[in-house]
Amino acid sequence: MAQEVEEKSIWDKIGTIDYRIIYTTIIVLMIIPILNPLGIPVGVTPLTQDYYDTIMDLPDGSVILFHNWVSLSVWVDTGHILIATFNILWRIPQERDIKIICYQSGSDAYLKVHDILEVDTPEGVKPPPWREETYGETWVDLGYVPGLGEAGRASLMMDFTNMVEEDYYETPIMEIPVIQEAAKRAAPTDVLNAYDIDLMIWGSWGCTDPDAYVRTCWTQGSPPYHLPMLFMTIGNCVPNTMPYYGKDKPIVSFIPGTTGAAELEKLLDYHGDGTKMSDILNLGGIGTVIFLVLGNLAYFGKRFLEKKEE
Amino acid sequence: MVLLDQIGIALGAVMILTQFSMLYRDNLFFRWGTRLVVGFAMADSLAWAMWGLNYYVWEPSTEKGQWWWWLGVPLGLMLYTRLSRPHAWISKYPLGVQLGVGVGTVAVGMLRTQILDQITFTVKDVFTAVTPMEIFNALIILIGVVTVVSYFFFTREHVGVLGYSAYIGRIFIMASIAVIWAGDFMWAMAMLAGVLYYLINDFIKGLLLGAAV
Repeated sequence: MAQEVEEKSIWDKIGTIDYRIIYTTIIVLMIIPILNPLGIPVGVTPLTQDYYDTIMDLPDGSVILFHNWVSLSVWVDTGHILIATFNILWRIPQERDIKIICYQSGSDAYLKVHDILEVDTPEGVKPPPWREETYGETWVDLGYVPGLGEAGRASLMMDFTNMVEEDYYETPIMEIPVIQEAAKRAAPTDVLNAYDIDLMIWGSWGCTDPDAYVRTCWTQGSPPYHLPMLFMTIGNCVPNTMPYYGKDKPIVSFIPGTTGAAELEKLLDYHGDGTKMSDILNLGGIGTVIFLVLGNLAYFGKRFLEKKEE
Repeated sequence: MVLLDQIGIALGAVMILTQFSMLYRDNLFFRWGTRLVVGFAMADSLAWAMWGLNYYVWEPSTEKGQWWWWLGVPLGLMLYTRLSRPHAWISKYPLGVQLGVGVGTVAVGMLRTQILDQITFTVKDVFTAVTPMEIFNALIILIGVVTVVSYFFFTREHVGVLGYSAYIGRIFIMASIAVIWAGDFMWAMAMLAGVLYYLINDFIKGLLLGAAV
């Protein structure tokens, strides 16, 4: 029996492309730069430039607090920003006397950071020899600090010894010269708190974190701490961060996602994993845009052009 | 590359492939992979929770005589009463303490940070903007905030001026949702890029072909 098959219009055909074809095409496009890096040029956005300049333009003798909560689950998006940020910090000349206090608040972040701190390649963040020789005097690693939810962080900002007793090498923190020196910057001089810090750099993957960090590090305190912050995060947290972003606002600058890492790498003049990821994302993005255009063509073609045919 | 690294890379690749298999359709390999990952995650969380207990309770109490850290432990144990239906009510006490501490910490900061400061920034930016682009941005944000708030003003019918305002507000809401969706999409793409890079670079090139990566 002959069946009458209704012929699909071109718009129907475009609009009903099998999703497996879409996945495969995008994945193939993304694989190309992995096999053969294309080196698609990366421009530096004002956001990234601000991030870099904020660190580099700090007054001599400043104290930076580096809080890392970049989970391994989002490492591919945010980890390269963390690596680039470490590289910026390590490039600050010794004579500027910038002190760094770092710690990790995620167990996996703690393990990963201590892995890469040993690696002396663009993918690693081994400190320069002078920083290694002056550990405890110019920088300190407090290691993993558990329990840093909002209440824990609020407590930390009031007095670091509330949450951390020893550094990574099990030295009581108030016996460490860099901590003692930082604590003297604001009263009380025997307590390290948010008033002693000039800049906080923090990385995390929670989109509600900007609210929470601004509450504990900017609004809290009497008078309020007003601790300026730099933020590294995943690509989809931009809308949550923008309300706090600005020169006279809590978040001075932020880097959302791995494309920002590529920009930082450009500023630092090295090609790390951020640049490679940016290549892959760019080509995948082109594929996505093509399918978006096709989808819209199918919709509008069916809506407007098919009616005319009738 | 040491044997432990090789096992780790192979295991990682297998786990990724189990999840990719869902692109075809639901299957046993996918479900096995998912459950294994959840199991690993639970084991890891438990191990770190025990580490935290040691860090905050056991060591301070045994080495420094700070016995008061133990006071929180019964509260933590009371949470487990949820596992027994007749005794589940006991778990409400530690939850109450947690909620109280949480609300106490957050409430004042939230009012200031997310409401008062946001209103101040929204209005102040218009007057402190310097460049034409900053002025334009500040005005757009001010108009966006006012019109979106008017969209959620339900005690009057959306007609006349309020109708126009709510309509513009709706456009701002749609634009915001589009931005959020685009961000989510690019984040998912970045995650995909990461696992593809891992599969090709670490697993195929590094482990199977023995190339230096």
